[in-house]
Amino acid sequence: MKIMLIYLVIMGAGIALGYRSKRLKSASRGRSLFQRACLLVILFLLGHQLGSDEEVVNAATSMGLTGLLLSLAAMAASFGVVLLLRIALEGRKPPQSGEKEARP
Amino acid sequence: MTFILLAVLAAGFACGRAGLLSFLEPYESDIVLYALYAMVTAVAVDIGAQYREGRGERLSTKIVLYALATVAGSLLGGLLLAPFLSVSAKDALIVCSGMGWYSLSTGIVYAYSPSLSVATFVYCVFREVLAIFLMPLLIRRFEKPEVVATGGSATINSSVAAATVSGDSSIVLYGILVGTVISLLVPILLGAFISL
Repeated sequence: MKIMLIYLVIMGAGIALGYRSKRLKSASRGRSLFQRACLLVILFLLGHQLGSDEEVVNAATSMGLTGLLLSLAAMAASFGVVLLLRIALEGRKPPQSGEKEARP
Repeated sequence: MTFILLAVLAAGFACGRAGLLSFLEPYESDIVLYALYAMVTAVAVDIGAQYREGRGERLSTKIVLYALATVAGSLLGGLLLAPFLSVSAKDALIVCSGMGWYSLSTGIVYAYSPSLSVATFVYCVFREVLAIFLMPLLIRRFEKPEVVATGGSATINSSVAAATVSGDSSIVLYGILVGTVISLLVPILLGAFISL
């Protein structure tokens, strides 16, 4: 719960800062590079942590398969739930003539 | 970009297996956490600046409902599959709460269970990569809400792929908005399920 609160505070403060400060432009190249650098550091260190942990290495095959199957189930279920909700809210839409059929 | 990220992760993993850079081990968790904070701050500043510049998408009740339905569907899929896997229902919910945001969710789950963080990472990466290939196919027969739902929070890259095929660039903005709502929920869901 503490982590959740920290992230919410950071997110709220960041949005407020970006909204209020005219010096900060959206789609800043510097900020984009900073984010990528952070991501690469995070992934390298996570890989290092995982590689140096025997428990993780021993569980890699079974846990990898678990993650793969869970992603398939989650994608299928979220697709189905949103499809049902969309039909309930907006009704069935007829195929759009021309545009969708004409796509390669 | 996805392949670069996978290569960096693999390089880190190889260093860990070879015992290289072992002096980093005591500080790794803290560095990861602070890097996550920095990354989330940069993303949030960008969102705030977009709204100030009038380029931010406006939230509608429907978009929030579709985002919530995406989250509910993902968790439901995990719950239904959990009895057939070697993980508990709680662990399946934790993994599925990642929603495709691998940098954040893998780091948070690692503190709870290192082995489960492997499943979380594979779940997130596979969801993003599969969505990049699936969304351009699905958009030919289905509407934006259900197509975007397949990507979870990682809909930006896959939305671009779908827009390239369909010629409908509005799916990119739609995907970013739905993905943002889902992303806001990821730390909340992870924190809630881990503390169960």
